[in-house]
Amino acid sequence: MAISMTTVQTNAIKHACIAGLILLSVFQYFKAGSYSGDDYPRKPIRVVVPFQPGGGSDTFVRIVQKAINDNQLMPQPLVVVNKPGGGTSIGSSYVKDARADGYTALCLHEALMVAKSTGQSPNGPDDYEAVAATGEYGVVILVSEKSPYQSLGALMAAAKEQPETLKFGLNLNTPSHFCAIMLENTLPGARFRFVATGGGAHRLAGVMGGHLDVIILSVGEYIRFQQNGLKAIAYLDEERIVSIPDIPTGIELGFPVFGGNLHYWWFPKGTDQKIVDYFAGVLARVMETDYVLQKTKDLEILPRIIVGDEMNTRIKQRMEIFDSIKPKNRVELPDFTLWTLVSVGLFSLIVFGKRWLNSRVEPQKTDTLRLRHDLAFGTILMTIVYVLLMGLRILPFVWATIVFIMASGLFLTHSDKRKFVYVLEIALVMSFGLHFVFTQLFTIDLP
Amino acid sequence: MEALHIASAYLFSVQGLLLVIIGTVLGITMGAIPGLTGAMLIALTLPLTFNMDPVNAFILLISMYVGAISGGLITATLLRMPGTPASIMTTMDGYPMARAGKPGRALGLGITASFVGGCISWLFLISLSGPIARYSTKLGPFDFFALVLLAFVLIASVGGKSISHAFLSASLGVLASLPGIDKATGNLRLTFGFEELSGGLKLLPVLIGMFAISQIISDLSRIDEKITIIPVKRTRDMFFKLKDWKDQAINLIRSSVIGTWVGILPGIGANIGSVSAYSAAKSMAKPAEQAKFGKGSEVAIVASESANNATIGGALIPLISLGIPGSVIDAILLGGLLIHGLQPGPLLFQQNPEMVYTIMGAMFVSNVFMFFFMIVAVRYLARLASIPRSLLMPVILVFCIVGSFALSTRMFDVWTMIFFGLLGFGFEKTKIPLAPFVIGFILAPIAEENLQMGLMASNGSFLPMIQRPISLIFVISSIALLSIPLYKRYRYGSTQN
Repeated sequence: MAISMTTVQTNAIKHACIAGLILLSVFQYFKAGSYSGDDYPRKPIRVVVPFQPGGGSDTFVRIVQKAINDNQLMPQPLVVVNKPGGGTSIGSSYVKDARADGYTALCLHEALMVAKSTGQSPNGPDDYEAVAATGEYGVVILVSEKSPYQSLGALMAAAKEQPETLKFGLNLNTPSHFCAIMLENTLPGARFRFVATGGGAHRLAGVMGGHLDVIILSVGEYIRFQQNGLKAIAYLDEERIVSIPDIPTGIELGFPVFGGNLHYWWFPKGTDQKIVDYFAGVLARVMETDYVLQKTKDLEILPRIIVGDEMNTRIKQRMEIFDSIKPKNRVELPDFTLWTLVSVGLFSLIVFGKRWLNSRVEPQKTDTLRLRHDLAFGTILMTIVYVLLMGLRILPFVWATIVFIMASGLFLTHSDKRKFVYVLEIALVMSFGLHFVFTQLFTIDLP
Repeated sequence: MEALHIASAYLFSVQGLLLVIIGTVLGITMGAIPGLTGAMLIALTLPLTFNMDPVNAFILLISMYVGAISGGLITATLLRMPGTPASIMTTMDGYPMARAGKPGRALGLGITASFVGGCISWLFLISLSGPIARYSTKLGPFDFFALVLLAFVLIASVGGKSISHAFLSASLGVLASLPGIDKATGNLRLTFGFEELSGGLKLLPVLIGMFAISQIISDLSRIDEKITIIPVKRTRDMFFKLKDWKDQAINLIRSSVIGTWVGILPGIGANIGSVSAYSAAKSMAKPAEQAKFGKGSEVAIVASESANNATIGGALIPLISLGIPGSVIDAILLGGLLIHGLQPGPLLFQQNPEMVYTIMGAMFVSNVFMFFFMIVAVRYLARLASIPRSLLMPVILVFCIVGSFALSTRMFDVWTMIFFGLLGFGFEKTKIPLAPFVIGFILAPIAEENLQMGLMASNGSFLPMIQRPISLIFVISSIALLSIPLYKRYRYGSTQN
C-alpha cells in the first residue's frame, strides 16, 4: 500500500472519535440532570405496572400514557415501568417504599386488595394514597359451545347436584378465585372443582381441549378469544356490555355477583394532597380524550373515573368483601419442595459419596498454567463493592462505574502506563455513554 | 389475494425494507449483548410503534424477533456467553471450536443453520398454521407434564458422562426455581423472609451469573494464558460447501422440525427447542461424532442454531391462528396486536389478512437479511474476542450488572447474578455440568404448573398420566431413554473410572 496511514495517525483518529462520543454523552448527562421550573411535575412521572409488558393492565396504562403525552396534559411525560413478579407484590412494594414526592405511582386493579386479604403481599390500600380509579371492566363466565350447560342456571344447578365435579379454570387467590367463590355463595350447596390454570390463554386451551368445564375471563380476553367455540353464559357486572348486549348479567339471572375491576392509581403514603389532586385532574381529563375513548371502546373497558369519597367507599367495600371470603385449597397437592430436596440430597450423596470413595486416587495434574485466583477474586470483590456503592445509594451509576472500571482496569493491567488511556476511555464511555443509551434512548432506569 | 398485494406493497417499499434492516440489526446487536434480550428490546420498542401503521409496526417487531434470536450465537461462540438464552447450547460447541482456532467456521455454521432453520419453520408457518394449532389444544396438563419429564431425561443425556452429576445439577436448578409464589395455591414458599424473593429468582440474572460471571472468574484466573484468537479473515470460510450441505442436510431438517414443533407448544420457547434438537442430534450421531459433542462438534452447532431460529416460525403459528402466545416474545407481540386494535385468532385471518401476510413476509425477508448481514458484519464483531481480557472483563461485568438490573430495575437481581456466578464457578470446579441446572430451572415451573393443574382437575389422581395416550407415549419414552444408558453401564461395567 502506497498511501496508508501510520498506526499513530489511525490511533489519533480513534482517540479523537472516542473523545467526541464521551463529550457528547457527558453533555447529555448534565443536560438531563437540570430541570427548569418550580411547580410539580418538574420531571417525568413514572408509573409502575406490576405485570409483564403486553398484559391487560400494561396495555391500559400505555393507552393513558400516550394520551397524556400526545395531548400534553402535563408539562412532563408519563413513563411506564414494568415490575412483574411475586403476584403483584414486587411492583407494589417498590412504590410503597418510593419517595412520596409524586414522581412514582402505581397502577393496579383489585389484585392489590386480594393480595393483601390473602396474605400474599404485605401491601394493602392503607399503605398508599389512592388517586383515582379509572377504566372499569367486568368478567365473563364461559363454557364450550358443546357444553351441556348452556346457561348459568343450568351450570349452577349441576354444581349443586354433583358438588366438586365441574372443573372451573381460574387462578387461586386472585380476583377470579374470589369471583367464583362469590358465585358459589349465591346458591347454597353449589361447589365447583377449582383448577389453577395460569393466564387466560391456558384457560381457553383447557376449555377447548375439554380439560375444563367452565372458565372465567376478563371481557377483553373474551373478545379476543370468542371465535374459538366459546359460549358466554353470564357477565358479572352491574350492566350488560354495550357492544355485546346479548350476554345476560349475573344479577338478571339471579346470581348477584359483581366482578368488575377498576384500574386504581396509587401514590406512596404521605404524598402531598395537592399532588394527588393534580394527578387525579390529569387522569380525569385524559379519560375524556378521543384516543382513550376510542381505545377503551375497542377493548370493552368502560372509560369511567371515580375519585374522592366515592372511590374510597368503593375501596372499603371491596376490601370488606374480600376479607369476608377465606379461600381454601380443596385438593391435596404433592409437596414439590420436599421432592426436590430429597432429589438434591440423593444425588449429592451419590456424586460426593462416589468421589469420597475414590478420593485415594490422586487426580492428574495436566494444567501447568499458573492460575491467578487472586486476580479473579480481587475483581469479584471490587464488583461487589461497586454494586454496594450503587445499592446503598452512595454513588449514582455514572460515578460508581468510573470508579469501578478505573480501579479494576488498573488492577488487571498491573497499572500498565500504556494501557492507562484505554482504561480511562472505557471508563468514560461505559459510564456516561451507557447512561445516555439507557436513560435517554430506552428510558430504562439505572441505579 | 388482494391482502397479499397490500402486504407486499408495505414490505417491499423503501420504508418497509428500512424497518426490516433497523429491526434486524438492532435485534442482532441486542441478541449479541449478554443480558439484553429480544423480549426486552421488543417490549421497549412497542410503545414507540403506537404512532406507526400496524403493518409497519409489525414489520419492525418481527424483524427484531428474528435478529435477536440469531444474534445470540456471536457471543455464544466467541465469548461463551449466550447473548440470549436461546443460544445456551451453542456455547457448548461453538466456543470450543472458536478456541480451537476456527471462529469463522463456527460462526458460519451457526449463521447458515439459523438461516435454514428460519426458512424451514417459515414453510411450516405458512402451510400448517391452522391444523397444527388446533391439535396443540388437545394436549392436556398431564400431557404437558409428561412432555417436560421427557425433556428432563433428554437433558440428563446432554449433561456429560455422568447421569448422576447431571441429575444433581438439574435438581439444584429445580430448587432454585421454587422460591416465590406457588403458582397453584398462591402461597409463598422458600422466601426466608426476603420480600424480594416473593417474585422468585429471575431467569436472566441466574443465566448471566451461571454462564457469564463464572466464565469471567475462570477467565481472569487464566489471565496469564496467551490467547491467540484467529480473526475471522475470509468470508469464504463461512459459506457452506457442497459437502457441508450433504453432511448436514438431515441434521438441518431434523433440528428445524424439532425447533418448529417445540415452538408451537405454548410456554416452551427457543431454548428448549435448541436443547431438544441438540440432544436428538447427539443421540443420532455416529460414536466418533458423539465424542466431539461439547468439544466443538459441527453437528451440534448446526442443530442448536437451526432449532432456535426454527422456534420463531413455530411460535408464531398459535399466535396468529389462535391468539395464544408460544413464548415470552410472542406474548408481547400479542399485546402489540391488541394495542393496534387487532384481534389475533381466526378473526385475524378473516378481517386483517394483510396483517397475517405481513407477519409471515417480514419473518422471511428479515431472515434473508439477517443471513447476509451476519456474514458480512460478524467479522467485525468477531474482533471483540481479540481485545485484551484485562480491558474487556470490567466492561463485561458492567454489562452483566446493567443487564440484570434493567430487567426489573432492582439491585436484588444483581446480587442474584453474583451469587449464581460464584455457584457456577463452584460447579465447574467440582465438574458438575451447568446446562442441566439451567434447564431444570426453566422447566420446573412448567412441569409443576401442569402437574398441579392436572391433579386439581383429576381430584388428586395420577392415573390420567398413563390413561391418556399422548402422555403415556411420553412416559414410556422417558423410561426407555433413562434405562438404556443404565442398562449399558450395567452390561459393560463402568470402565470410565
